[in-house]
Amino acid sequence: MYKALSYKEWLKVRWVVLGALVVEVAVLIALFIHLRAIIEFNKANVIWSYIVFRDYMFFDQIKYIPLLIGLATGIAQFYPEVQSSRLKLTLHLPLKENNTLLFMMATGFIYLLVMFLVFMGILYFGSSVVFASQITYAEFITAVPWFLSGFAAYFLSAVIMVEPLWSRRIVLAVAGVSFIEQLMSGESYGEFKYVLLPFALMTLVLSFLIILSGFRFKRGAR
Amino acid sequence: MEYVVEVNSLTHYYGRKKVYENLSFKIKKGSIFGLLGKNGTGKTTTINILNGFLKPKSGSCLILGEDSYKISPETKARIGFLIEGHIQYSFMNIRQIERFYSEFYPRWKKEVYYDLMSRLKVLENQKISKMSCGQRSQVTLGLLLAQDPDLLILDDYSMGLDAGYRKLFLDFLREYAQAENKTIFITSHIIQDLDGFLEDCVILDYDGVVLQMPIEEFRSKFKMYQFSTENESVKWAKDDVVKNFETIKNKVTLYSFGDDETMKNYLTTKQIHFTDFKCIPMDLETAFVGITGKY
Repeated sequence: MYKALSYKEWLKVRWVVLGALVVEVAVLIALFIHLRAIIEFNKANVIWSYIVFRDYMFFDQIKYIPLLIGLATGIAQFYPEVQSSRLKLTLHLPLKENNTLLFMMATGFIYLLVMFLVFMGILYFGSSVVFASQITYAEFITAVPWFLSGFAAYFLSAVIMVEPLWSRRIVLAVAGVSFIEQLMSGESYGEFKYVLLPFALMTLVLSFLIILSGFRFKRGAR
Repeated sequence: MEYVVEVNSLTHYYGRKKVYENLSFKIKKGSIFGLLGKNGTGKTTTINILNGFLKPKSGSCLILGEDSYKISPETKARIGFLIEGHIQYSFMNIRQIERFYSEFYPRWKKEVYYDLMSRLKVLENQKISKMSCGQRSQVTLGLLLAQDPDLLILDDYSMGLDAGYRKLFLDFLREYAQAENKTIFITSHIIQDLDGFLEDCVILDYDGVVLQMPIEEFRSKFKMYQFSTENESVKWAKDDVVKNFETIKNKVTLYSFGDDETMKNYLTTKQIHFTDFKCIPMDLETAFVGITGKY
């Protein structure tokens, strides 16, 4: 049964997943072409000094891409469910309702994880060709909160769409925007190095809010 | 007697607005039961409560022996549910949706679904979102019949359908119910289609339940009487005998469960002189309007 449920989720998000992968690859190609041009026109020590002393991030153009991908995935997956209360069909399937909702979230999470691993992997290996491992590692640590923002945007968009009460939607949206702003607020390399785990746990907790929104949906709150 | 649905003293409010109070009815196994009422009388609310999508303010509702708010997955598999407007996963096509649902139901009858689909002039890879409402209703019906549920709950199957598709829908349902001894719980705002289809019904009005009885009993006992009277100043009111009334100048129409003699005695007792007294035969829709009123 869960195989069928994952099939349904795939049908909803497949074009977003494929589109996101194309965008990721295109952005990274453009990013490395740009980096190559900078290296061509500047001496290596200039770029090094900019990175080390001025926190120059050649990859900061990707900052909002995980966020947009997370948002697009959430909308693609959950908008068809809440449109015309189609979620009733899903909750009427012979499965436990909480399991169904959590499974849907887990499916989206896995798709995002794959998309982000591809993104991060290409960025990491591409940059390791040019830079020393310390810089590549710093890039990785710096970008992790941006990717967490993608997961947070996904979880929050899903929870907000399933939530039937407007007052709670607004509260969730305000709290969610504040959290995402915090994740995006780093301005130097590895600024959130020591709070990555709490950030990751807080992001994960957002996924469980779907149970509360689902409960209110089922109870017919209005 | 085995009951598939047992609703006891159900009361629900939306905020301060009362939907109904103390709604009670039972649905016998193997029967075709109609919940009839005008728009806004609580038909969809009842369906939502029955399917566990709404928690009532008070009262209880058992469906296949389980509390409707906590239906187990096994029992859900025995209930076919049509959402108002023939809502389905519109991002799927005919083949995909069959593949999806077939995994959930152990008694799935693929051939029933494809038999119905073969009658539609649509391609297997046509998305449901690109279909007409009538075609969508056939896809929904095909899925419900393939599921082979013990209880079918249909919320306003007639919404958006023309006369042909409405008849087709009911013809398939009738055949299904008779052949398999299934129970059907149906609501509709087009009462005339259900004439000859329903076996039992509850009629809701804005004040709650107007009546619950087998359709044949309702049809045979509920009467419309028309007569003329010189006394236009009579103040008509609903009571034990008169269930509803209409007056146009000196022409009076009364609706009642009483027979001819009862009505004549009633008018005589009230000292109302009448002429051209006649009992007018009614179809189900006229009887429905008669008991609920036109407004």
